[in-house]
Amino acid sequence: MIKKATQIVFLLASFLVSSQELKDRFEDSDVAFEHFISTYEYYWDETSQSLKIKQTDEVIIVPLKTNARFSWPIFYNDEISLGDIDLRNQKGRKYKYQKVCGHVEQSGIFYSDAKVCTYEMVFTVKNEKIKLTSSRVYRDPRYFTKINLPFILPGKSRIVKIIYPQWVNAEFVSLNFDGQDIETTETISNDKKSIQYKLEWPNAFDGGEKNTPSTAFYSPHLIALTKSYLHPKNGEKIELINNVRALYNWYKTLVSNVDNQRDSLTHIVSELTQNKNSDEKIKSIYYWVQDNIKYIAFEDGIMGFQPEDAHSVFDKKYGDCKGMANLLKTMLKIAGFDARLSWLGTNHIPYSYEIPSLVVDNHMICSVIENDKIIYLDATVKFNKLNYTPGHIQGKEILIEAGDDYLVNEIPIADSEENFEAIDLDMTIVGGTLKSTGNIRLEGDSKQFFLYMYNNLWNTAKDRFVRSYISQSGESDDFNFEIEETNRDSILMITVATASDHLVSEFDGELYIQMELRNEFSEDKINFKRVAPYAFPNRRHIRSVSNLPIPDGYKVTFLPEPLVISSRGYSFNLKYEIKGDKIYYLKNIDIDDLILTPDEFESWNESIKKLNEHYNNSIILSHED
Amino acid sequence: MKTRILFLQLALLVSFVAFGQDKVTASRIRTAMWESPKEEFNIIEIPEKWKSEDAVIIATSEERSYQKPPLSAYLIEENASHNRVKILSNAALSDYGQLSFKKSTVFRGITLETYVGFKIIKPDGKEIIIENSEAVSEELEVNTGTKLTTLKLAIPNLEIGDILDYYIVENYKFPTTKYHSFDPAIFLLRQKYPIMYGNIRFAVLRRCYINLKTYNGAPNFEKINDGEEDIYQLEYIDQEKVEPIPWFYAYRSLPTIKFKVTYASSTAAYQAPNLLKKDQPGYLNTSVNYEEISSYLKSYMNLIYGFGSLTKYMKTNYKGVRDKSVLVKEAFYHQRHKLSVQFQENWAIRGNSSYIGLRRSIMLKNLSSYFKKAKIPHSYIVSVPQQIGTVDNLIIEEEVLLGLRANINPPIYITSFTAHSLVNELDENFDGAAVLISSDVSGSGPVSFEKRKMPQSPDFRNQVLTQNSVEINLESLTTKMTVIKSLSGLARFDDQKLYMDAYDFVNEERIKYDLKPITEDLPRKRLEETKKLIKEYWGSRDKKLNNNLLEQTKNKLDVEIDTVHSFKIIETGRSEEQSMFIYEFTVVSSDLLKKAGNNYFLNVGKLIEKQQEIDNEFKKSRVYDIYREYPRRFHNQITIHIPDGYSVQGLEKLQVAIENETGGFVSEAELSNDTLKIDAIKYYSNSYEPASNWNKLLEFTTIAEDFNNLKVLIKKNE
Repeated sequence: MIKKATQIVFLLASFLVSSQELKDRFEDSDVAFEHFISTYEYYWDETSQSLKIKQTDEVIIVPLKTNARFSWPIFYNDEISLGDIDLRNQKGRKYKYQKVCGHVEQSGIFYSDAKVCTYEMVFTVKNEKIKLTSSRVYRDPRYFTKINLPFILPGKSRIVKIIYPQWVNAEFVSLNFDGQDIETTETISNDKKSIQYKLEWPNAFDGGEKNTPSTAFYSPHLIALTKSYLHPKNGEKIELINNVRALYNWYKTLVSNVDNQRDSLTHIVSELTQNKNSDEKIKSIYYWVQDNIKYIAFEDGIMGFQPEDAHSVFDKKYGDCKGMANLLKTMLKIAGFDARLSWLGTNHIPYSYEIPSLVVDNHMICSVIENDKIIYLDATVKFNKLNYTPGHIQGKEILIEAGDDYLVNEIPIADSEENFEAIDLDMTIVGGTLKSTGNIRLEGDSKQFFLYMYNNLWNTAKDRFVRSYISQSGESDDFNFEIEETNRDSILMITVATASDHLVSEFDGELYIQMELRNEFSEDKINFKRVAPYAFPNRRHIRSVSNLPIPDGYKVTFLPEPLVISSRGYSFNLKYEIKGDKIYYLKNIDIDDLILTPDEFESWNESIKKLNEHYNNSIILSHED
Repeated sequence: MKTRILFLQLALLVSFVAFGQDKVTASRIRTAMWESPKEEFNIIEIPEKWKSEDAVIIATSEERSYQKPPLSAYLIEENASHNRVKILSNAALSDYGQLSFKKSTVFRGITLETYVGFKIIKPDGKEIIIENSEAVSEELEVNTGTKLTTLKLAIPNLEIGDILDYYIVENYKFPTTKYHSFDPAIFLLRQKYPIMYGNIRFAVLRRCYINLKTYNGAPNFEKINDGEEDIYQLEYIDQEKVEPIPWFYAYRSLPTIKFKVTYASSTAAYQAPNLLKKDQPGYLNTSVNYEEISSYLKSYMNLIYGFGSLTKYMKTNYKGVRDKSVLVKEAFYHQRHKLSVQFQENWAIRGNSSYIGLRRSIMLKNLSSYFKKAKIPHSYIVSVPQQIGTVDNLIIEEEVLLGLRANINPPIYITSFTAHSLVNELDENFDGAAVLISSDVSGSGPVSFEKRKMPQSPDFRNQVLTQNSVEINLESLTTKMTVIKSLSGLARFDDQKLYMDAYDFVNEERIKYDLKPITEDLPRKRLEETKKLIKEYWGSRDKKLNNNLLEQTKNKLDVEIDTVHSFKIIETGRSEEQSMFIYEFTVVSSDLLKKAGNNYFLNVGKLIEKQQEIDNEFKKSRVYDIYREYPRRFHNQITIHIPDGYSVQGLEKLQVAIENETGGFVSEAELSNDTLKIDAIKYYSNSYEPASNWNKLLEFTTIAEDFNNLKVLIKKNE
């Protein structure tokens, strides 16, 4: 009875908060939370004799619009079990909800153990606020990794509370807290420590816009590092993941469960490597796995970290990154190479091994150490050449197995000699049309992307893809092309011949000519209201040279000014110049860093404006007197 | 025994199986599918002409069975699909490399048994059977109890050059009712990949009726005598692949089969509105006659509960009026108000329109009842949705689209049922379509039908007239456009929906129909809620409208837009006197004016709005006929004010005139003082063109496409 009375008092107190301020601040949202408290408490589970973490969420959701609806999601998986759920209206009465539970469909992932239950709330005049409490249990502290502060809803007060016994050695790393008004309070009692993080007026995640990176890049969150604990019964110290070595050891434990039956692979390995030198052998095996093993992503509980047996991947002809890495390693080992499994995070996540946690890694590849050089082999990236590391893992730290020991390396970022789009065009004016012949040469990520798309599209769509790739817009007048080389080891060359009416105009005896065919980045202005950073899909180095002989009887009366923009992470360098009897149009564009932060949007947009002005400007030729 | 039909055996077996998969049945299905299939399912070679395709469907089979086993308390629907596909590219490998199917389950009283089989035939002939145990399951549970599980199988060891042979059999058991209408289905005999051989089979038993139509060159079904039951089969061969192309209605152009199966007891078959041959259950019904249509309409109309006090309203307000055309029109507009307009404000603030589906049938019922009382002779007009077919192919009751014709002089047509529709307005499903017109239905006598082609509206009746006054600012490189749009006929509906809401038009009818404010006479709580909703709606109304306008303008002009503002509706386009929807707004863009040395280019071509681009590949030739919603016209009157001290050059390219029987594009440009006037008209004469007219259509659309790229030079005077 006392409990019930306390509950009602609490509810009344909570509901006294006016929702008007929420409405004023979040006018685009249908619902918001008044408060959202997540409590994570470590405890010793007597039944399983193991350390677990119970997450309890308490949230009061208010509608900002009449008759609003919202489905509150609770995520779980094989390592997180769902506990109780309770929904009550403002009078403290049980709210009858519609519940839908199921697997979470994630783009590009064939199967994942990620599941969600959603609880639908319908707000009416009678039902103005709903209080939801729920609980979940992390069965293994290693999988308790990340706590987000903002949520998919905006709200007034977001509190994360972590409570753990003194006999648990844990650390909570705060990320993206700079510039956020987050109040941190630590309390230590006799047997417990407690840390509370309080964020006032958090916005909802802003993930809906084009090229938004993972929220881990910009949204405040905590990484939980449960390092060790003292067994509450016998006082024995149990190590969990307290450093990179422990992380590596954990991975090694999982890898030791893999049963690679090498015999079933010896035949294919000897077939692929006979009469070849070392480089050719590695290449032959790497390319075979790229070409013959289909990449299908599985994220299934422990199998999200443990590779599938090599012979099984070989037999099935498909596997996820771990399965492909393990197959590569096994085949290369059979061929006599020092091949090793390697863990890393792709450029979709921002972490390094300064944080020893499972959250750092979302990918696995195979590294080969040959003549003191490390070659990184990622077979999930099709049509990638040997000795070129794909862009999505460049610049990232990698954890490489080394028996009982391990190596941490940083994968180098490819320079513009290894990763480029080069365009050379000879232009002429014929009958009011700008004719261009020449070639586009692709290397590195651009080549890999082109070859992947070209080889995976339906035959009827290939032609359209090439046209839109060449023109970067889909626009094409009289457009011919030929792909001269599709071998991943060579630079890919596409010869092109185009005729564009709209790039030449004659007025009153003067010719106005635009020598720009592709207009890269011209439509990439960023919405100034955007909160999330902007992520480029890959680093780009564009080198373009076009030349146009000055037609007989004409002289150049106007050339646009050069455009030189150099900023953090990108540069644009475009100019026209006259050499002899030709006009040259030179364009260098570099995207060196993948992330633009919101404080850089204004200068980026200004750069794009100038870039467009340059693209749209014309050279002018007049009759010689 | 060659024509032994799998599903008949299955049906009998399943009747003894309670829940869960039955291994014996699974084994029998596997045998039927893989060990004694039709010979086409044993083929491994594909024709030379298709060797460069992404995939070739060597054989495909769809079997449907709808049964009511004797003495049983359930109906069985069984869908068996069997495919044998040669994989020839990575794209096809992705398509067939991951397949999914439903897991056997029981939900809401329906039992589903699923039986599947997957095997790969390697180029050397080796067959590998894939174990279903490799499949992963994805669950979906609604509340507690109803769990639907999808099994996903990544096909192992599938490579380019392999043949994948797989079947999925779904067996549903429904609790028996006296009348059960299975979902209608429609098949196209052409798919994304070419097909060497295909068949579709039906078995219909005990009080099941099947209505089915094959058209657009699809072969007919044949009856196979199996000794025990009648099986109907259709076979087809050598079908090329089909890909999406512009102005294409697949069901009007490709070999198509549509069907619907109904289980009905003998009395229920007669009571329910349907197009069944009531005395012939089990018979494959491939045509409906006028008598059946008449019977359907009668029972359909009997089921509808009419309301709206039309007769009372007409008696009160139009007593003594003898002009029947006035009575017909006033009755229609009363119903438009009572069944739609009066609810619009509530629908708007609550963001729903749940009554819209009911409106057409109730309106027809009310109008017909009133016409009968007022002794206004009238007929039903029957059409079908434009995209599915013509009235000649009518076979399923769900296809029927109904209108009315008041048989007075001149007749009045009622076929359009939006909140802004007018009498004598033929919507796209009636405009130019062949329809069935009934005899007078105002009496109780038998109804006959006559087939007739409705007149097609001329393009100018469905016109978008855009008057655009353009001011250019050389300093800021911006273009300000003050636009007045006047839309007529069918061309006005989309914009009325986008830019006009209840607050723009409901007041037009408030006095006439004595419409009270929605806040009047409400209980306190409801009143409170309604007031809140109105306030919230108005809080976001302008923003929503401006967003719509900005997005639409951006897409139509194909340029970046800085701002749109000053939107105003001039005429709502909801009466015969003011039948055009007219609105104005101002738009500013920095994407139309470009610097060119000391001069400027203005992309005038963009101002006529973007012509739909047709890929060069598609321009080369056209096999399929061309369909558009309705004939239409785009008329642009553009006035550009040239800044002082500047002149304009490049007008000659703006003079264009291409016209033929399919339509035309005509543009004239004239410079007078400091004003450049462009008058451009593009029109499509017909909603349908035969494929042979493709080049004629391209003649003017390509010119319009080129026109989009035209620019004029704004040159500083020397």
